[in-house]
Amino acid sequence: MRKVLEGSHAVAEAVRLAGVHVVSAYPITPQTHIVERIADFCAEGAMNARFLRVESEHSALAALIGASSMGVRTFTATSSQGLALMHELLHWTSGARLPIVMADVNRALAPGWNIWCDQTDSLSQRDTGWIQLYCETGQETLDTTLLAFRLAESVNLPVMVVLDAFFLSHTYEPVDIPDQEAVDAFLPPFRPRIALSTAAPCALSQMAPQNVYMEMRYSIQQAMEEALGRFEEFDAQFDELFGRRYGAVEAVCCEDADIVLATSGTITGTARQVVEELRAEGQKVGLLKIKLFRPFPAALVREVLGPVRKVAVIDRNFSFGATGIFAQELRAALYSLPRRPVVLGFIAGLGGRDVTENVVREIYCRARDNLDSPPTDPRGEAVWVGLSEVSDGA
Amino acid sequence: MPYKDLKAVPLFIARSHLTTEANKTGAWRFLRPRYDEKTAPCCVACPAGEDIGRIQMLASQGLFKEAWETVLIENPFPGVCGRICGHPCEAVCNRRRFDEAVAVHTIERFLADTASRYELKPHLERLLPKKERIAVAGAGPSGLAAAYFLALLGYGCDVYEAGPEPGGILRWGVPSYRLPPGVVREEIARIEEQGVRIHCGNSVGEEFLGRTASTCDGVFVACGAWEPGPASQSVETDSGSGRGLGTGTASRDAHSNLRRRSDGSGLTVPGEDMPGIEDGLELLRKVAAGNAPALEGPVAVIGGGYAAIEAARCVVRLGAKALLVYIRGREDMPASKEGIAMALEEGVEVLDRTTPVNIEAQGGEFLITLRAAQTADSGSGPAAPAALRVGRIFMAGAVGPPAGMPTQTFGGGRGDAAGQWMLPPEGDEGVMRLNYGVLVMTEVGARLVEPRDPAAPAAEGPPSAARGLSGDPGRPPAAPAVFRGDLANASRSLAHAVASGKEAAMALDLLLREGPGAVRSGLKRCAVGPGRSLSFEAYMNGPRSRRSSKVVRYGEINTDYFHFSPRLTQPRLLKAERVRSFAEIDLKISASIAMRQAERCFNCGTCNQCDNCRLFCPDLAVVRDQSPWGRSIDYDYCKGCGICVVECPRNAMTLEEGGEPPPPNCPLPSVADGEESL
Amino acid sequence: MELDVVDREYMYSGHVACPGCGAAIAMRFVLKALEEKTVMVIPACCWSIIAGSYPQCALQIPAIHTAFETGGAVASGVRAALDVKGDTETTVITWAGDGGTFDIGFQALSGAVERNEDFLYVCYDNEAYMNTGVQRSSSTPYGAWTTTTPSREWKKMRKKNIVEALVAHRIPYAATASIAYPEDLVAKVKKARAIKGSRFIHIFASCPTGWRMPSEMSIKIARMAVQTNIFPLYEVEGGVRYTINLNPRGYLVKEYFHLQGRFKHLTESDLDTIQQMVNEDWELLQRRAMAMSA
Repeated sequence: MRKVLEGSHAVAEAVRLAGVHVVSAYPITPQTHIVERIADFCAEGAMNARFLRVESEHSALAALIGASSMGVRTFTATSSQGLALMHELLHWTSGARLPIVMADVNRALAPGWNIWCDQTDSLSQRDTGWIQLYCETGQETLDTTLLAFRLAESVNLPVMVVLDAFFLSHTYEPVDIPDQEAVDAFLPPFRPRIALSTAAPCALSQMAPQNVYMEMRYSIQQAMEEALGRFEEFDAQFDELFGRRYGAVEAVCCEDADIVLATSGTITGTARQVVEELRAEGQKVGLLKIKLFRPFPAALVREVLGPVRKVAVIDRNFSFGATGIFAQELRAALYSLPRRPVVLGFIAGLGGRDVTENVVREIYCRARDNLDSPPTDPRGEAVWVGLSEVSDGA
Repeated sequence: MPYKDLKAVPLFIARSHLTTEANKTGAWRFLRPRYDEKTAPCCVACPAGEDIGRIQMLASQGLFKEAWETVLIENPFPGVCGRICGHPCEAVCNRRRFDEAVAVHTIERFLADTASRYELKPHLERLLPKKERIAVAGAGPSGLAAAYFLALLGYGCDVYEAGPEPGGILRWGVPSYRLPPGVVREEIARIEEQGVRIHCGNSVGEEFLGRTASTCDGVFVACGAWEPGPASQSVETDSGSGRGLGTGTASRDAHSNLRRRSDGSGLTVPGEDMPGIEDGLELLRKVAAGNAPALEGPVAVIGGGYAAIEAARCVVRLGAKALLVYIRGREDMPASKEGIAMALEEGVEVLDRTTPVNIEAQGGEFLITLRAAQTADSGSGPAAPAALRVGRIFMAGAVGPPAGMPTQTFGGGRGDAAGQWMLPPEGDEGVMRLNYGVLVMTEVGARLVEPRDPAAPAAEGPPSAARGLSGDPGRPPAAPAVFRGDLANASRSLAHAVASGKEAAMALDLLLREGPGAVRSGLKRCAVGPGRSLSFEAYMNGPRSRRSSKVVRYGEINTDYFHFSPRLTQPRLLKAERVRSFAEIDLKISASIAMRQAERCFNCGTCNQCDNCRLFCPDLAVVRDQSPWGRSIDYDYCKGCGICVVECPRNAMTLEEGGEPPPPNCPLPSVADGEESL
Repeated sequence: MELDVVDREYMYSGHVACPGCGAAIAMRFVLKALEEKTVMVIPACCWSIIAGSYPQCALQIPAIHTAFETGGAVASGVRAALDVKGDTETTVITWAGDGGTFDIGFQALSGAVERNEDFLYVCYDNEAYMNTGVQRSSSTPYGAWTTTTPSREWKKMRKKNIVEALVAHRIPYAATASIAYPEDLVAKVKKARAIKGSRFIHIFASCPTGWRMPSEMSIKIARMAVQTNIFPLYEVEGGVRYTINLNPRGYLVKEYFHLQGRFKHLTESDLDTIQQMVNEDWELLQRRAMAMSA
C-alpha cells in the first residue's frame, strides 16, 4: 500500500510489520514521532507488543537487553543525547550478541542545544559493535528497518538504522508499505539463539577473565565479517520480493569518473542532482553513496574508488583532533591499494546547516581546482565549508 | 521461501554451562569447624553423672521413654531422686544465669511417674552373662545401685539385707510425704528384674566376709550407718588422713548419733540416756513401718539436720506440736533450705541458737534446761526460753562433720552387735582409694577387729599397727571388696550413694576383667567432665564416651536463641492439707508442662538437631546425612567462616586452627588445666 | 528451628563469596522462597562475582548479569518479554547491592516502581561498595569508616532510607528483612512473590570483610542490628499500611558498634549521638506505624 509518510512513520510501519514484541523508548526530538506512532499501534492493537515508557534512554536499552535475552524481538529509537547516554549499553548489547534493532535519528550533540541534523552522534558510536545502516529516503528507511531485523537475527549483532533529523525523519514522501504476508516471507519469526529459560537455566554475561575475553571479542568481529556477505544476500532477497535494493554502497557514474563525491544520508539526494548536472556540463564526476558503514565495506570501496583520481568526501560530522569520519574510514580502506586516489575531506552541514546544491557544487569545484594532491599539512585533510567569521563575544 | 537457513555464525559469549562446584573452596580454610559435643555443668555436678542435657532434650521432644532410659543408664532411681535428691545440677545450671535454672529435679520425677503410669519396660543395654558372682552387703540405695549396674554388666548379684525389706534409708528414713513407699518398691522391683537377688533378713558380718573368697568373686560393702543406737562407739582416726570406714553416705546427715568430735564440738546432754528419749531416725523408721507412736502436746526435737527436720514434720502429722532446738543459727542448719522452709510452713517452731544443757524427767514429762548458744553473732533474735516442758524428746543431732574434718562414722550391719569394719590403712599394697569408696584387693583382704573401748587412750604408734589387721594368719583372705569410704566431703546425698554403687560395679568389673592396673584408668575414662562423677554409658562405650570433657560455660551459650520463660512453680498440696496426713506433698505435673519446662534447657554442649549450622552456612557446606548428629560438614567447600559454631546455641561445635579436615575419630581434646569452678 | 520452606537448595557450593558472607546467606534463603520459576537480573555488585566466572554459575535459576545502574530497567524488559510470551507465573527478580539500588541504580528502580512493573526487587545491603573495595554509598551508615570516608572524614550523613523513598511511590509492597531472621525473610519473600506489581525487599546482609569483623559474627551482628532498632523489621503495603514485625528490647547500640572495626574510631560522645539518632528514627517509625497501621 502506498502512502505519503514521514520518515519517522516509515520506521514505525516497519516495526509493526516486523512483529516486534517489546519496544522500550524515551522521547527525544526528533525521534518522538517514531515512538508516538508505535504507541498508537500498540494501543490500537495493531501491534502485539509491550511498550515500556522508561525513564531514560539508558534504561530503554537496558530494558531491551533484558527482553532480548529472553528471546523476543525488540526495538527502540533515539537520537543524539539519548544515544550518547546509551553508550555504555551499546557496547553491552553487542558484547551480549543481542539482535536489537534501533533507529537513530542523526541529531547534533549539545552544547549548545541543537536538534537538527548532524551525523556525529551515530558515528561516534562506531566502535561499539553495532551494524550501522544509513538511509537516504523514506522508502529506504522502511526497507532498511525490515532488513535490519533480518540481519541482526542472522548474525546476532545489534543494528542501528540511521536517518537524518528532519530532512528524513520529518519529511513526507510517498512510501510503499508492504503487506504483512510479503514481509513474513522475508522476515521469519524470531528463532533466538539466546533465550533464557527456567527449564534450562544458565547465566548470561558473567565474569569473563583474561583467558576467554579476547575470544569473545573475536567472535563479534567474526560476526561482523559474516554480516558483510549476509547483507548482500538479504539485500538481494529483498529485491526478489519487493523489487528494491540498495547495496552496501551505491556507485553512480563512477566507472569513468575523475572525481567521486562520497556522501551518506540525505546529502546523497542533493548530490545525485548535482552530479547529474555536472555530468551534463561534461565534468567527469561520480557519486558514491555509503549505506553500510559498519561493517565497513572496504572491498567494495576499493573496487569503486581505486581507479579514481580524487575522492571528495562530504562529512556531516567530525572527529575532533582528527578529521571527518567517513573520510577517515575511506582513507583507511584505500590505504593498502598500490594505486589509490587522493581523498579530500569536506565538512559541511553540522548542526542542521543546509547542504544545498551550491554547497555540493562548491565542494566539487574545490576538489577539482584547488586540491590537486594530498595536502601536506594535516590540517588540510578536512576543509570546513561555509564557515562564517565569528567573534566569541567576549 | 526466498530465504534459506544459513550457517550459524560464531557466538562465543559469556554464558554459563557449568556449576561452581568445581571450585573446592575448602582450600581457603585456615580455621575449621567441627561437631564437638561437650559436657554440661549439670552432669558434672550430678554425682550420678546423668546426661541431663540429653534427658531434657528428649523430654522436650515428647520422647519420654527415651528420656527415662537416659536416666536409667546412669541412675536406677529416677522416681526417688526426682523426689528427694538435693539437685546440685540446678545449682550450676547455666540457665540460672539467663533467667532461672531448669527444673531438672521435677522433670526427672515426671519421667519416672510417666514410666510408672504406663508400666513402661526400659530397654537397657546389657552385656552377656558372666560366670562371676558379686555379693553386695546392704540393700540401701548404694548397694542396690551397685547390684543394678553389676547386673547390667552381666554379673550374678546377691544382695544381703539385714532388714525385713530392701531399701535402707529409702524405705525407713524418708517419710512418705516426701517419698511414697510404692515408688521405692517399684524401682527396687525394676532392679530385681535385671536379675538381682535380694536376700532380706541376712545380716552381714565378719563371718560373711570370711566366706566371700569361696562364695563370690567380689564384694561391695554398703551397709549404711544410720542405725547406730547409743551402744555404738566412735573411732578416732588421724585428723589428717581421712581414712575411714565404709558407711552409708545417704544417711550421713541422718546420722543421729551425737558424739563428741575430736574438736570438742557435738552434743552430749546429761540425761539424754533416759528411757523415753528416742532417736529421731528411730521415729522415722517406726512411721515407715506403720508403727508411729501417738503423740500429743509439745514434743522437742534436738538437732538441725535432715533427721531432725523430718522427725519434727512427722511429729506435726502425728498430732503434736514440734519444737526444734538447734545449737547454731537457722541458716547454719545442715538440713536443706527447702526442708526447713517446709517445716516452718507446717508449723514446726524453731528455737535456734539454743542448746539443751540438762534433761530431767518430771512426772511423765521432760524438762529441758536451755541456754542461748554462744555464737559470733549472739544477741540477735529472740532470747531462748530458759526451760521447756515437753511430752517427748527425740534426739536427732546433726553430726555431719564440717568440711575438712575426718569422717568417723561407722557401724555394723543390723544385728551385728559390735562389728566394725576396719580397712587397712592407705598406702598399703592392694588398697586403692576411689572417688566414692575404697577398693581392697584379694591379696590383702579385709579384716574385722574387735570393738575398741572408747574410754581407752589413743593408741601409740602408727595407727595401722594399732588397729589394722588382726594379724591372724589363720583367717582366709576375702574376695576383692569395695568399701563405701567416706572422703572428707561435707555433702552426702542419695545421688552420692548411687554414684558409689556405680563406681564399685565398674571398679570390680575392671578388676576382674583386666586386673588392678586397669582400674584407675578405666574409671577415669568414664569421668564426666573434670569432676568425680562417672558415666555408665561411657563405660559401656556408648556415644557419650566420645564426648569432649570440656565443660560449657554460660558465656559460650548463644542466648539469642532463647527467650525468657519462667520456671514452673512446683504444684503442691495446700499447706492445710499437708499436715493432715502423710500423703505426698508435691503433686504430679502434666506432660505439656514437663515438655515446656524441658524446653528451657539449653542442652549445653549437646546437639539437639536444631539445624542452625546447616541453615546459616553461606556455602551450603553442611549436609544432612546419617552421621550421629544427622549432618556433617563438607570440607571440600567449607571456608571455615565459623558461623555454624557461633550460631550453635549450645556450643556443640568447635572452631579450631587448621585447614585440613579433621581426621576421622578425631581425638577429643583433654580438659584444660585450670578449669574454673562451676 | 524448623523453617517451613522447601528444603531444596537453589544454589551450589563453590561460589567465591568471602567466608561468612551475608549476601550468600541472603541469596540462599530468598531462592528457597522463590523456587524454580524465577529469572534473576544481577546488576554489578558482589554477586556479579560470587556467582562465578565463565563458564560457571552458582545459581540454579536463569540469571542475567547487567550493567550497574540497570537493575530496574532490565527487569522491566524481562518482565515485558515474559508477559508477551504469555508467562505471568515466572517471577522476575532484580538482585542488587546497595550501590546499585540506592545510588547509581536508583533512577531505574524508581522508574520501574513508578510504572508499577510486575517484578520483585531485592536489595541486599552490606552498606558500602564492597565489590570494589569498601567505598562509601548512600547506604553507608552514619559513623562508618570506608575507603572513601577514611579517618576524620568518616561518614557524617545518615543512611538513606530506601524503603521510605519507595513507599512514597505507593509501591504495593516494601519490607525490610534480615539474614538473622530467616523465617521472617522467607515469609516476606513468599508474600511478595504472590503480589502483582512492584515489590521491594531490603535485606540486611552483613559483610565481615568490609565491616572489619570476624567472619563468624555475620548472623550475630545482623541480629544485633535488629535488636538495637538500628535495622527494624517492618512492612509497608500499598505505600500506606505499616506493620512492624518485631518489637525488640531495644538494646543499646554500643555493643553493636564496638564489635565492628569500621566503627572503632567513634568516641563515646559519637555513640551517644548515634544512640539518639537511632531512638529518633525508631520512634518516627513507630509513629508512622501507629498512624497508618494495617
